[in-house]
Amino acid sequence: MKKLLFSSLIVMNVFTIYSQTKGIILDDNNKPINQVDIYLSDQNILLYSDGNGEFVTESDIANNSYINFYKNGYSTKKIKYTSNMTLEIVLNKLHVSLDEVGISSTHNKLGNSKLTNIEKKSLNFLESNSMVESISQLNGVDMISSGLGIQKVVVRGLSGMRVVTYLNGMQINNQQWANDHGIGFTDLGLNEVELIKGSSALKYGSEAIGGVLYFKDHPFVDSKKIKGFLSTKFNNSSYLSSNQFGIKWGEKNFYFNLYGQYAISSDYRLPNSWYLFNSRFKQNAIKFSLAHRLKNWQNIFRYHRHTEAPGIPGHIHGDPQESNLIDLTSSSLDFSTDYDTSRPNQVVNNQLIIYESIFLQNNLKFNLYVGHFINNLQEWEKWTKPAFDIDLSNTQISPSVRYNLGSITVNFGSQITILNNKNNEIDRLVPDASSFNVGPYFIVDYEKDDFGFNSGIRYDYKNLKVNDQSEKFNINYDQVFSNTSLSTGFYYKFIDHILRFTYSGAYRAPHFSELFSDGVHHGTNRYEIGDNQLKIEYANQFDFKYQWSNEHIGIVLNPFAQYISDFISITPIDSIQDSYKVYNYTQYEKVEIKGVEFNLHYHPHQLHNLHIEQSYSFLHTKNKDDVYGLALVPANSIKTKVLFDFNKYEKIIKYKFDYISIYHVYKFQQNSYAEYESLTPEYNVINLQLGLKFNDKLHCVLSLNNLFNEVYSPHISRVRGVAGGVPNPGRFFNINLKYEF
Amino acid sequence: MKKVNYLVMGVAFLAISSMTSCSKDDDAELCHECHIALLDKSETKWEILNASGGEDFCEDELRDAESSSAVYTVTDTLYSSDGIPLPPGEYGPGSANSQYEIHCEDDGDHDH
Repeated sequence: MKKLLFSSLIVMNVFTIYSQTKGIILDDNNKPINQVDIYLSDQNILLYSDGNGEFVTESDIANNSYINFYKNGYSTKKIKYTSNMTLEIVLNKLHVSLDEVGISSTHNKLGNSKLTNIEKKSLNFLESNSMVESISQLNGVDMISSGLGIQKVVVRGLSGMRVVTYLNGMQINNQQWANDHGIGFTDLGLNEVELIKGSSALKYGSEAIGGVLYFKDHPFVDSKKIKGFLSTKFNNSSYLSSNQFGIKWGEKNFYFNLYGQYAISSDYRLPNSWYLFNSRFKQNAIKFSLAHRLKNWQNIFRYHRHTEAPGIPGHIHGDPQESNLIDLTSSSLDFSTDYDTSRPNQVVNNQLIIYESIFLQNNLKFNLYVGHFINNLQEWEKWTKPAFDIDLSNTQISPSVRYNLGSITVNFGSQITILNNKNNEIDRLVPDASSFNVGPYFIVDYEKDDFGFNSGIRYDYKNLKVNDQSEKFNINYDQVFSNTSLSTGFYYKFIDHILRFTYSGAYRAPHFSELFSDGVHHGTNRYEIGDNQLKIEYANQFDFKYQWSNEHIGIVLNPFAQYISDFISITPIDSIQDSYKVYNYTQYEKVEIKGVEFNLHYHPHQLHNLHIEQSYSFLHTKNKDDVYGLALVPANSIKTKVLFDFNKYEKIIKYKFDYISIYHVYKFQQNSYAEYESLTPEYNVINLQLGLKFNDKLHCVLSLNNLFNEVYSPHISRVRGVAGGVPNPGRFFNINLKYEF
Repeated sequence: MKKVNYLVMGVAFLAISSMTSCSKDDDAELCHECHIALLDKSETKWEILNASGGEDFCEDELRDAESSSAVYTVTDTLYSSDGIPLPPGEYGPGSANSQYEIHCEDDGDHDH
């Protein structure tokens, strides 16, 4: 196999025809601009301009492929390349940069950002405590967590199976039906995440009725010189130590990225200085990507291995509300033992293998994507035997074609997914199961001047088979779930005003865990029982977005409404089994989720270096079948970030100060809750951050989190229902360092 | 420049080696304290001793204590931290008193 791979690489190299494409980037005064990011989005390759504003790539750029130009302080530009064009690009200097507001011509994997409501977040190891925490700064996004070890994303009140995660194009299936099963990877090597709220990402599956998160690696670099970094993170709450390295290299049409991470954390400290026992975790990961370009053809191979062992804190036998915080905590840490794995805990092993082939020819882009994801999840309560041990493999094959015809772009293809769930132990919570899903889709985008629309349709055929004749189960189930999903929308720009409206209709087939769970789930302190009569869940969403911006201020107003019928949920019944309260999966006839998100972005004219961002997120859910509300609906919130950039202040820069920021979250009282939840009071959290720039290569960020040591347990915290609500970490500091070479 | 590249490769190799190497836990003997638990509304616990009178249950003894047929014989009355007595007798999932379980997971500590 190794010989075959090696010979293939040599053959590909021999046939490579070297030619060059050159260009120059100037500002509006015809002066060259240095260090502009030139991103060949169809090839996922990044180039930089030199001191003369020039850039060169060693092979032809395919006709009609997109090139994006970014430079902080300048307008971004996106062009469709043709071989007869002169690559002389002019970037206009901005009065101030309102980067995150307004329609920017940036590249998105999830679709055309003008036509679809796509949000983006850069993932920066230095500036965040964790990747999920960073994403939850976006409006309408929250997280279910118990410390840094187990965290998962909630979008407009929906999570689990309803929020689908993609990593470099591969759907991540890692038993995400449970709140104690985290996202399954870290920010290692990741550049940014794209998010679609609601069900309008047809290309990426109909089942994402809550939203799609698409995580992307850093692009390949076209640089003969090896680029890389070493970074480290420490906090004094859980005494976390997280270390990463990365290397990038690209020469003669070969590109290579390599990343590694090792993280270890003890239990986190509560505001009362006790430590939440077993909130510790260990993580390590290694990943690499290899790409080769041969004229208009590009092949990419990726491998990613991630291992983690998070503890499950807040574990009790009996009624969680009856437990005492003192029984779940320690008064101090013992460093000789409190980094060690304890019980109960999870052991997660994820492996991701991806092959992607891209061919570009004139107006055509052909893409073949093949991915295989293997997830092994063990949940241990006893030391000598896991409570369950499950292998979940997911194979995805996605051929797709994009065709440009003037103002019209057509995308069509299919997503084929084969999933296999296999228990390795007699003890089990969910049965062995397999599914086959094929989903052809067709999407048309039209864009001309200040108007555009898109429309798409997708049909999914899903065959779910559950055949488990073990001691625990005796199931022989074979069911087909099929349906059609739709999405359509338009945008219109009038001077500085932009309007966008999207309608999407999608469905979600019940998951085998919802149909057939039967057993103790230590991660949730429940005995869970499925219902094999569950039907398809249908969702219809209306999303309206209004944006306006001028040189100093930008606003976004985004009301939305989603109607979900046959909503699958889990509710407690008055029964105890194996000493745990019994929860049954059930289906509500009609659920409404309505809300509005508002963003404000402001740079005062007198103080351009001051950057003020504020977002308001209001969500109202209604369950027409129950006097109680829906579970795990985040409280309404106001998030504010004020950042002052010290650049331009020579007297301050000489002390290595880069920026200072303050981040404030106000969460309203949550008085809409499910039967097994309770009211959550309002709270404020304030974090401070100071950025230091020792030189172009060495950066440091010092953070002081939960400045006023607020005692709070978010409504959707995984341990909110335990001991009256286990608080989040008290005041702590972070030191993050990154050295780039 | 080549030296720098070799250095970078070396650092990467060492980092990968250390990340994929076995942890010390793999070779350590598996020993933990155990208790009898009555799973009522709030769990009541009685600490128990191993066959030699020590606190730790190791390897096979730990496996037996955690098995679904475990039986532990109490010879002298035990008392929980709240002073609740557990009279002499046989306890555990394999005994007539199967409502009592034997647990060996750790808890937080407020003593040190």
